[in-house]
Amino acid sequence: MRGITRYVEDLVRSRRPRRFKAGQEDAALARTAIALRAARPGSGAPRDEFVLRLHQRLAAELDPPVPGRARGRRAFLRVAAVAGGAAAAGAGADHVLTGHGTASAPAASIVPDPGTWLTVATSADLPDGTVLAFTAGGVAGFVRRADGRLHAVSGICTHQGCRLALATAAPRLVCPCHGATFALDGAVLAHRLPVTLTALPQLAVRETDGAVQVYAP
Amino acid sequence: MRFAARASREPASPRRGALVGTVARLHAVSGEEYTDWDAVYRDNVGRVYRLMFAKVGNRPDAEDLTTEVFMAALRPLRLPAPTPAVRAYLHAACRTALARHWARTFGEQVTTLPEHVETLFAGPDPDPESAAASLAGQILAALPERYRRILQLRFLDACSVAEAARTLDISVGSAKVLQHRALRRAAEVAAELVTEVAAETAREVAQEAVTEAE
Repeated sequence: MRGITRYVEDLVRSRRPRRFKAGQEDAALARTAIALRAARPGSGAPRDEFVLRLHQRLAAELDPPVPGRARGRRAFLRVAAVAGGAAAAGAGADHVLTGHGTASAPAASIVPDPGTWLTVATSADLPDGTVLAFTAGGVAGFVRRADGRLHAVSGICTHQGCRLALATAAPRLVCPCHGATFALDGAVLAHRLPVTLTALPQLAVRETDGAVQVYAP
Repeated sequence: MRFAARASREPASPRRGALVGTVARLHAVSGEEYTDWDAVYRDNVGRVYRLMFAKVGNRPDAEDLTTEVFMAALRPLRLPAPTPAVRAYLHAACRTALARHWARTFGEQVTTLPEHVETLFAGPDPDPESAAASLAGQILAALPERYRRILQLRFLDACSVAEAARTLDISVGSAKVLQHRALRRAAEVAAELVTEVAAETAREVAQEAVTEAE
């Protein structure tokens, strides 16, 4: 039984499962664990970094080395840059990951220059005690109302820029890439990375004429 | 450059703003056929990855399998070729790679891909995350409350055992036992669901045969 227990634990913790000799009953458990794990929010999309690296590997393998024929490579890099744009916007340039083992470093605020107030929800959509995911302008984030006050944080993991998902049963944000978790106020809750994670940057948020707005680029 | 944003196909809702909506719909405009490997890759890398993730449930394996599929499949591919033919070919490559993966790791075919091209590959704008969520949702919905809660906390919300135990107000040991029992029950439910789906498919096939005979 140890093999399958460890296998399931690896899946839940987003590690590569270790191999073991499985019986039919183990296979049924593994199959179910996979079905459940695959439904974790944010699991479906490949990392931009991976897509780009594999493209480079394929180009090296398949494209004949003709000088002056840079081929779809540059175009591809541009598309990847667009895809990474949301991440870059959330994780500002000041979030350099340094140090070892510390759980959290203080967050900056995102103050775009220039920015505008963009509506992300109506006031009615956001009663007290609720959280909403939003994308506005160049930022993705989460806005919530707690004790009557509005707060907004970036929705991009400060580790490698993966998009955070709202957990379904606990009030927290989960990173699909390495399983880092953040509190709704942006503080780092837990991660197993050998770096110091920065808390999620805050965004300015206001409420005007029944609209909840964030200040975004 | 053969890229076009197809964001206009559906109006972006104000809450899901423009940027992400546009990126999600950046597909190679392939028309009826692929003319080079680049187009094949761009249009299908996301599909292959998602297909693999749904079958192995973890990123390192899904990335390795995606790599394996494209490294093996692209070189022998004769282009230009019709889009559906290339997708069917990639689907076959995925089946082979997945079967090899399980033979290597488990010695037991834990998950398989059907012979026909799944909707994930055939559909124009697949959303396999919601497909995975709906299967998981059906399994979870059929479970008693405490079983559902522990599986949800651990698998969907990425809670540690200790966190899940705290949330459920039980000891860590009890949480482990509860999780194991819940997963065993979930596996039974999943098996029943699969049987139901198979029966449904068989009924449909029989119905089609009758219609054709008429």
